[in-house]
Amino acid sequence: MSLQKLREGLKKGFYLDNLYELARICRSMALDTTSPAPFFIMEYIFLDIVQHWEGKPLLVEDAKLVEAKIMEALEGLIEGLVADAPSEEVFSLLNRIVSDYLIVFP
Amino acid sequence: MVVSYSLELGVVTPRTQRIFDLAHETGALLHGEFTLASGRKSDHYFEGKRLTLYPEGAYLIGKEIFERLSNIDVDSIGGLVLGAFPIITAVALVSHEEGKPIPSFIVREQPKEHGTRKKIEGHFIKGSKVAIVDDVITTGGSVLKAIKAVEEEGCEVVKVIVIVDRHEGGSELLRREGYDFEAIINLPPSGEASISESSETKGGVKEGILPR
Repeated sequence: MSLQKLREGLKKGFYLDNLYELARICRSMALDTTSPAPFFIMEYIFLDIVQHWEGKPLLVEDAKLVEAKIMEALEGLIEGLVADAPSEEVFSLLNRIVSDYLIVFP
Repeated sequence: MVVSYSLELGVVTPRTQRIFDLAHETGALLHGEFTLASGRKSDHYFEGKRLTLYPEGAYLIGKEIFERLSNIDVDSIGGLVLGAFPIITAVALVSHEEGKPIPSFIVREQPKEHGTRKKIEGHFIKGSKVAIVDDVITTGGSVLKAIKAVEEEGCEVVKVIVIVDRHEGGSELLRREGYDFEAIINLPPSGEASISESSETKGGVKEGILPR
């Protein structure tokens, strides 16, 4: 598993099968690093979105809205991890993801 | 009698029309722009259990499928959990009421992890003639799992009936494989849906549009 796979997975957008796949990639990466927190948090977020959406009709516009609200923050974190950003910056990027996520799903 | 058709129901009868209307009334069938689990986009969404677990829906589905099986030599009816469960129960109840009982069985996704480790539960006889049902067919995965499970036990699948065919490849695949397949409601792929607008009835049959 690699950050590249995660990046490619994100580009596919948010739908149930892909969210499960993204969560699986994150879990695998969390188990394979000494800094698992970002991956663990992303896994939690992907699975939490699944919990909100599974078994219900998902309107295209609702899926796009959630994507629009948190995709930028997720991509920012991944770029930060790729660039091996200092832990303070990673922490700040994580806080942004969580804040954006909590706005969408309070 | 005037025979009428619709794109969704084929030959429209009062019962199939009522099932179609009830699918909307119960919120089982919604129209809009939806993202499916696979990421595909669809202009309709069907949640079968909202129809099959509704009293009138269960009864009408049971009657409809029982009648579609009445001219076929079939020993039992079954399908994959969870979608098929209320359907086979409804058919079993109707068949008892009609004096022509059709026993039923369920196929598990995975064999039981304890005890008998059975994959098929209920009234199932190896080597018998069976009908397989499900609430919806998309790519055909669930229906094929049930078919494979009974065929591994030497059974012959004499009929496959679903409530909704989403025309995403599943029914086409089954027909190519030689199975006798029927759907009560056909939902054409995105952009081709065309609901019958007519509300006039003649001879107890609702007029619709001819398939194009």
